[in-house]
Amino acid sequence: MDLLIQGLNKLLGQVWPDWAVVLLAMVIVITLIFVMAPLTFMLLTWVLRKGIGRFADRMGPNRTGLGRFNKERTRQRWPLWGLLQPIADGVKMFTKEDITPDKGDKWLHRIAPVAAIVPAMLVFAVIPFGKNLLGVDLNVGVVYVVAVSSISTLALLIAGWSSNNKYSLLGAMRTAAQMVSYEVPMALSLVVPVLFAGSLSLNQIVQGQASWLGLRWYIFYFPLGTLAFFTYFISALAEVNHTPFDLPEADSEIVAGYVTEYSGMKFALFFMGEFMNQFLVCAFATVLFLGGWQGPGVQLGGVLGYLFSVFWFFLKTFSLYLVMLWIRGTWPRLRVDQLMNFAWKRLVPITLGNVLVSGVAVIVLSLLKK
Amino acid sequence: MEQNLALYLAFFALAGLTLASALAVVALRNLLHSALALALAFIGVAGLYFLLQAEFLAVVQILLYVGAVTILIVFAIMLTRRLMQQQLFQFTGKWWLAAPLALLLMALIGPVVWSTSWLLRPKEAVPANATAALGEKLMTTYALPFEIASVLLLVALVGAIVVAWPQRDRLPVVEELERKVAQARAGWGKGEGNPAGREGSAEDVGGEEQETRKKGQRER
Amino acid sequence: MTIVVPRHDEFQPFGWGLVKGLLVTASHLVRSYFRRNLRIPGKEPFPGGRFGLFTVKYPEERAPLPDRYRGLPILLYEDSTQSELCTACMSCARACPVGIIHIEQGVDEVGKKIPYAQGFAIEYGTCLNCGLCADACPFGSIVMDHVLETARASRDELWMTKERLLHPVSYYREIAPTVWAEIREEAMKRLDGTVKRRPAGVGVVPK
Repeated sequence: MDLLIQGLNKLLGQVWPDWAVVLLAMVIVITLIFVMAPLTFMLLTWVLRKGIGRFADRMGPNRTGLGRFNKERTRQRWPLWGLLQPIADGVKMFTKEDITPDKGDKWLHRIAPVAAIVPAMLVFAVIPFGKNLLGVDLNVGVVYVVAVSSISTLALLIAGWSSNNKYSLLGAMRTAAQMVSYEVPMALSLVVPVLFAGSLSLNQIVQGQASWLGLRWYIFYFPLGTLAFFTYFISALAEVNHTPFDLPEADSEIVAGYVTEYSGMKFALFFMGEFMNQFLVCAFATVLFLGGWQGPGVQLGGVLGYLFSVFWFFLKTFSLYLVMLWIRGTWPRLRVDQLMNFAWKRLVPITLGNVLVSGVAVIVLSLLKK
Repeated sequence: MEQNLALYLAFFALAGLTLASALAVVALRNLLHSALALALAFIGVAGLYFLLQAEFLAVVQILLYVGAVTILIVFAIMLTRRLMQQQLFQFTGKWWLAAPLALLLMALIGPVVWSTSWLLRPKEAVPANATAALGEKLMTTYALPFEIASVLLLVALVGAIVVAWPQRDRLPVVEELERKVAQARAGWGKGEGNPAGREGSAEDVGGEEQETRKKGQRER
Repeated sequence: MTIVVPRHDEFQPFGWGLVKGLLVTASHLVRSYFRRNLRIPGKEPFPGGRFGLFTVKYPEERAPLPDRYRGLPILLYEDSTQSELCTACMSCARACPVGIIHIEQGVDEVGKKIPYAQGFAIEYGTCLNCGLCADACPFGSIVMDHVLETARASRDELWMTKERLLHPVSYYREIAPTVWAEIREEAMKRLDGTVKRRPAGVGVVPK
């Protein structure tokens, strides 16, 4: 946003007072986030359905798209790729009847989807999408992301409770327990790149990974960075309730878990929040471990450098998302007790040990440099 | 000038949010709603920390209070069956005793609060990397409180595990049943499932029992 | 008989099993772009093996249905003489579990019953697609068609009268050759007797 303020100052600096320029910059950034987040969600649903289809030897949606009928009113040869399917899904969700359980807590039932999606959107503001292209450069960016994503756990609990449904409550409790348990190894494995970079600011972390051929990306700091990346990825999969940790919300297990009693737009908000969380987790992993927007061509000045940085960022994030899809199409899920076991008895000791060794390594290296 | 105005606006908005939610915590009848209003109050306090340029403290406040403590409270409320069924009545019978005491407390604290000069912004300049400074102070000047706090957390963790540990000593009924099951299983292994053909194998039964007991202990 | 299926589920240390699973799915993903794998009944179920795209782009392409697929019942008439095979013996009406086949037997000028169905109606809407009528028919005249899109716009269209039910034998021979081969002999042998006992011109489908 600082970039935007500078640009706007150049344009309107003489005419508008300072605070108005800042306000306008804030409004523009917020609008961008509000536009980009649902677009990302749509793209991700499309990638999900086509991708999972291909993993299962079938095409994904291929009927809705931008083709047209040929003369015989058949769609024989137009490659449609199902690109309008997300819009069709959106229309479907908009037009579904909105049901609120009668005996449940009506106000909580309404607030829960909002409280689930707001933290996801809040995190969009601190992720650097390109060279200096981030909403706010907090110098506690890493902790901010972890803190804000932990608010959505509360939303899930409220959702399960207000549905007045045994299975919703059970699913919500299990989901909340899982998310709270996996926050510990997630935060601990995030300490490692912070130690390497010496800063909690996301921009600084990305800039600390500038290197030729990506050799200084923290994932390549063997073995600490690599281990931290894998533990972060696994814990993040559990945080966003993704396979193999999606027992609390898997269709065949508990109907739909905490979203059983939600329909229409409320369900759309939960769904959107989940996808955005998945995207944000991938984005966060690229920023911290894969060098963020670094890549060849970023050093060029002017617009080209910025475009390259955005391109690299999205390439890396989508590759990670494809890996998540790959995992979703392959691995079975863990039982609830198995996943809690895995978190507390296996991941927490591993991440703690990793933090210890990384701390020692950073100190030793800095002493050696002197 | 505008900065001051913006500061005042932000402060009063956040303070208003915090106070309103705090009032809601004590005034709402539904216990779960009070817990959620408490979460809102925590968020308001985090905002005030942001205003005081203590960003690390603000995000840690959100992470710990909203992300952990509130969830704990909500879990406790949801798992206690009687709590949600009654609507708590906020006005107690003995208000004629409580009101003068509360007024006395306010009379004691009030002048102190009034006479302090509260700053909207920190007096000295906050170092650029406040988090690093905080970390350094924690490890050097305030190392003792830090260690005591971590020991406290460790004690709480160990206490929770001890409270939730499954019982070591079983009821004698359970032991008796286990012995009978072991005998039956021994019978299936040797003969054709004849439950009466095991009298002569007393030490085998004892051996089986010892084995199951040993296995049970190992599993625990 | 013991069938041994190799399951490849031995324990793989160091999480190798996870990686191998990922490789299997990845190979499915990649190969799905290079080959299509349509199942053809009568031949081996997966002629292309396990990989390849199984999607049939309905309605432009249709997966071929097995010969014995039970769609909705149709009546047959022989091509050369254009005479209906149905003799109104009521076997199918009796066999139908939901009783949706309604037959009225024809009479000649004297009033004697002839082996000809003057009125034949089936309620397609209630049909169970069970095929018991086709199994019961001794003359091979009512058989199961291979229709999939059976929706109609109004209830009246689901009341199928005889002219809408009649199909030539050549049609059935094309869609279900093996089944027709089984019932052909009986059907054709009895057809002569049936035609003889009908008055002239009765039971002939106009072109």
